[in-house]
Amino acid sequence: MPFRFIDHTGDVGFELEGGTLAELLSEAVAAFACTLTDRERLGSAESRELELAAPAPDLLLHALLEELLYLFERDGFLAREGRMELAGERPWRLRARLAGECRDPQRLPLKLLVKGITYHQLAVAERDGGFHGRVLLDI
Amino acid sequence: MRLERLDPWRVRIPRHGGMRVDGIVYAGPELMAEIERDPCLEQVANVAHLPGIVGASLAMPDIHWGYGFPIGGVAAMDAEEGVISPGGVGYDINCGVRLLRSTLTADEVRPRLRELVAQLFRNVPTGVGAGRRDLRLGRRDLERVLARGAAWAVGRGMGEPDDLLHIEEGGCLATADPEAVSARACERGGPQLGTLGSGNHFCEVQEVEEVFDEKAAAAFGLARGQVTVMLHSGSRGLGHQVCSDFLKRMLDAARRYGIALPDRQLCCAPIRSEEGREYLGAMAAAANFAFANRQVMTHWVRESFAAVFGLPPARLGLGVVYDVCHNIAKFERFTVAGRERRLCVHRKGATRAYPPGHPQTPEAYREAGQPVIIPGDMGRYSYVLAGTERAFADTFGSSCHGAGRRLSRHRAKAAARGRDLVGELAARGVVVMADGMATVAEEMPEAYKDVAEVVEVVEGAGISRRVARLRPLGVIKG
Repeated sequence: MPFRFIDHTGDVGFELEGGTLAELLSEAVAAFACTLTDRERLGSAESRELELAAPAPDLLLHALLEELLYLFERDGFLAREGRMELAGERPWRLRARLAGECRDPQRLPLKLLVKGITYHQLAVAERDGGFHGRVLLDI
Repeated sequence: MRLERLDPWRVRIPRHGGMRVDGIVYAGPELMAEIERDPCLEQVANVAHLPGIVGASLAMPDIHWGYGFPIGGVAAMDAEEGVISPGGVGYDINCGVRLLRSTLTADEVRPRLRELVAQLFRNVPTGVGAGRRDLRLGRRDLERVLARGAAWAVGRGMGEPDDLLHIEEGGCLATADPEAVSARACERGGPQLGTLGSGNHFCEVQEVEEVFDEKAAAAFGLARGQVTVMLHSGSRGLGHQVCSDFLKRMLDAARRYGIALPDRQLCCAPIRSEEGREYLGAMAAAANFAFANRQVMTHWVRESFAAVFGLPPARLGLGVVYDVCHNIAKFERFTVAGRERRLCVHRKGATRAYPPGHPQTPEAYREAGQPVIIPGDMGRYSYVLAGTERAFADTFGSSCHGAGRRLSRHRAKAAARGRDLVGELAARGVVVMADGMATVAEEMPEAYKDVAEVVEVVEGAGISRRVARLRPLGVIKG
């Protein structure tokens, strides 16, 4: 799996990998879904589109996760996967096409509720021919 | 990192690098050994870098790894020269604890305990999503909540005027600026008023198991064998979004004001700057939302007891002992090096602990000191403490806020695998109802330090004193 959960005392985090930044951001969508629920049982019939811009790749990752949290809190929408198109650097611009569903609480129990996406140890770095990221969520 | 033990209860992190003051951690040798295995000490040192910090970067004995500030951190900033940091308050603005006393004894409640817990579980919304259909707020109502806090709920018939006398700041921060709260924060949190949330939030029916200070307990209206109810919740999605909105702004602000940050989550702005003032207004509004949230749930707790025991709420007592904030920044006055100063005290997972005689301590508690409510875990016990002069002098009137996590959520779930935790707790006389078993596993008693060890430190250091110990009987969780 190109993401793995970090063992944090009070909260939850994950480390991400991707051949490209777009792949890493797609992995972030999957990791977020896995944090909240059983992603294997999550449908993909509904879609959402996001357009985001940020001054650096790590802040783009942060912005994407904040939007996923907002969509979940407002609509109950949880993305199972996302197709990412990067359209420019400095600022980094992203168009994300998300596929998922508005959660049915009876069918999809929640594992956790996320309060916020933190900047603590937030990182995206390019090395060894790929992208590596790290993010911690407040629970 | 070099550490110097000052006395049996305190360890100093000497000022080094960019630290402006020392760090001081309240912990005995055993707790300290555990704390040293966690990255939280580096966070105590990081907080000491912030401009305008006064005295020391403090950590209470329930300290553990947070994000930016450690959980259990206290930092006082000079009101004129210092900074305000949203990360020093946290996402769950005014997360806090309220304790209710009742006229019932544990012997009276035990035969109907399961029914009572089920009634609470029906009446007090837990977990994710919106709250009860009979509480829907329009934008105007929400603005009033943000401006008036707990008084809004009392004005709507959800509580008694007397409740407000027993809440930190009377249940309302007058500096609230509802206009500074974003539409997104209102959208996210508005429907969640009167909801408990998830994670470590709970509503717990308890028994006063032990009284350590008869006089203070009598002042707080507590006696052995009596049933109490503890509520732990905060400002829900509204506060979370206020924090997120301002962290983004403060990242830019810190750069513009030339503030060097050892951790971006500590981003901040001068208290007197436009960003600082707006955050303080929005934070106070979110704090008022949290006060109202606990007040609304108090009303539903009272209704639940009335329905189960067939008695009017007045006969059941269920008065507010006290309601304390855990995650907050407030302007308070302290004497530092012989000079009275107005400080902005950040408490991130710490409780105010004012001494006897302080004008902010409710009149009924003036001799005893402010009640300090310390939840433990759902299997063992919680404590009621009282604030002291020593806390006022040494820790900006602050004490611990809970047991502090020992196991990560992942490790707690691994430890719970294959076990019937609800059955285990039932065998210990605790009825648990929760939205999901994952939360029960993550919040299992072993996931937390023994709160008695934490309380031993704050009492030993003289920053709080024990009044009573409460044993859980029934718990609802999200």
